[in-house]
Amino acid sequence: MLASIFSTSVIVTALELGCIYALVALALYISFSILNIADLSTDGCFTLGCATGAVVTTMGHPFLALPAAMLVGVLSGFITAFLQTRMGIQSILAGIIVNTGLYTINFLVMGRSSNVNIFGVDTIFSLAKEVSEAETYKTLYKLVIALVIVLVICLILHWFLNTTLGLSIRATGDNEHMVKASSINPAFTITVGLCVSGSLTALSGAILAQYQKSCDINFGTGQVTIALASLMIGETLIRRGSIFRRAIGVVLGSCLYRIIVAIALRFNLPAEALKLASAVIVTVAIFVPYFKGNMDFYKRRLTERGRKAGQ
Amino acid sequence: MLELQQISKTFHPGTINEKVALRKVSLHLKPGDFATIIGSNGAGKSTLFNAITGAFYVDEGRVILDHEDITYKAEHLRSRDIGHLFQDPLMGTAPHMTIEENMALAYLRANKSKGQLFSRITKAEKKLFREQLSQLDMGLEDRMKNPVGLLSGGQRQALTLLMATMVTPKILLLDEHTAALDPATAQKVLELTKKIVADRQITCLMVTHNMHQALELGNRTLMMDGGDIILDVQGEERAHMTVDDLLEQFKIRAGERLDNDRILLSK
Repeated sequence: MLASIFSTSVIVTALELGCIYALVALALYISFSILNIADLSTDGCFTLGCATGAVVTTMGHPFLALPAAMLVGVLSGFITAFLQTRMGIQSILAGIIVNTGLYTINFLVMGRSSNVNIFGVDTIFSLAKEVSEAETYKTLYKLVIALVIVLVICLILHWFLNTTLGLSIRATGDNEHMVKASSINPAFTITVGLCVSGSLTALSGAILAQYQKSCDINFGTGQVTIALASLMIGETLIRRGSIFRRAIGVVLGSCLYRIIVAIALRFNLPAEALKLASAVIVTVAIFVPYFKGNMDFYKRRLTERGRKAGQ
Repeated sequence: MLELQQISKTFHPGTINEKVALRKVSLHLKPGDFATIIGSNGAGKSTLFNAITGAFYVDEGRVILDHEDITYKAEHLRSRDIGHLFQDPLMGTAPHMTIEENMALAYLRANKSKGQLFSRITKAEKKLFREQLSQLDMGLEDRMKNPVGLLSGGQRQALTLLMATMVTPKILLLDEHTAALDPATAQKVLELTKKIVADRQITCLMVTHNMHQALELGNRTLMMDGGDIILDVQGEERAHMTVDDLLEQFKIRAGERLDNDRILLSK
């Protein structure tokens, strides 16, 4: 029974996607968990990275596609940050505005088309496939690439968030007041944080474009909720520890989410139901700790009411 | 050291909520001055502090710190030279970061150059932090990897004081920084404050609601009411003043009785 659900290829695919999408969850780890900002430009930024990655790849530069996507991601993050730190727009609104604007930009990036297909050119995955003919390698090479990329990113994040600048960014979300008192400009730390976050989101999009050999204007839709679900699962798995440990937790969360999705699909859940499932997961993940916190009160109130009713 | 020239601030001008918080306040503090401030609720004590730190810009007048006109200088740039402690012990530290990380951020004020963005906490810095923490006598030097959120209010306030003075500020602003602590802890934090301020000759302004403290601590007592400083005593005159004199003075100058529950209760 289990073996039929968990065929190797299903699991490997889930892990591949888990690692690739983990970058978006890591981006939200920076903006949502660390900076305490709900950055809703994620969907558009993901598609932007996807579109840029796809276009640069079709030009014959599969490696250049990744830093190129990261660069446009930085730009997107910068604009979101600029709107909220310099123009007085609320952070949620800033993200929504950028997200809306990016739809047009993404359309233009893809040459006034709503999708781009990558064929007849190399991708990082097709190049890696040629390295060895071994059977296991053929099954696992995509996973290896995704895993290596995501691990390198985790290490870089661990390094970065422990530098002076990284500490300042973490303190900004924790106690902005204290940051100002330490002669750091919170507008600056928010900007840097959102730029890093944007670059990771876009990188994820670019890798996905090469992985699926295509990009569609709607690839990003709902990405923010899915990434939040992964982040919540990850933060439940690993609650404390170094930045690296937490980042790994987020990656595990993303992989677990994809495995849940894979199982759901095995049980013939229609693919369009997934977005609703993600929405439910996020809601439950946030609601459960809240409910637990109030549980004692509910219990007391219930017994009190029972007592009164009994009188 | 600090010179306020006729500073004024009105909140929500032109609306029904208009509130004149500071009325042409002038004050001159000499280097090493330690002045205590008392006053009614809403007298403008905290507003005065916020005008100095740059939480807002004043409507008129000038703020001069150590011969530098900082009237238009941004808050985060002023903070290099200003230490500020609040009544709420949670305001000055980042709860989810470790003691060591908090101190490293405070120590940033020591680095005048900008090229330090990617540096990490060095061994020498850790040693310095440990030495500083051991002064507190709270055992915090052995908990440097603990998140600050685990500390008690008193411990957090003591840590905040340490952070605010780690790089000697040109002026230290204490806004009832012991008021929210239990008496024993408050005493301890106060002793520590006195020691640090005296050892390093820090120019200091301290808001208090304790009239005895207002007369005993430091070398100067200021009284605020309605957005202005209505009394400024020091030297011989202050040495002979009693709490009752102070209350009497307030009545004469403000034309009404002192309206501050905590002051009256702690009298």
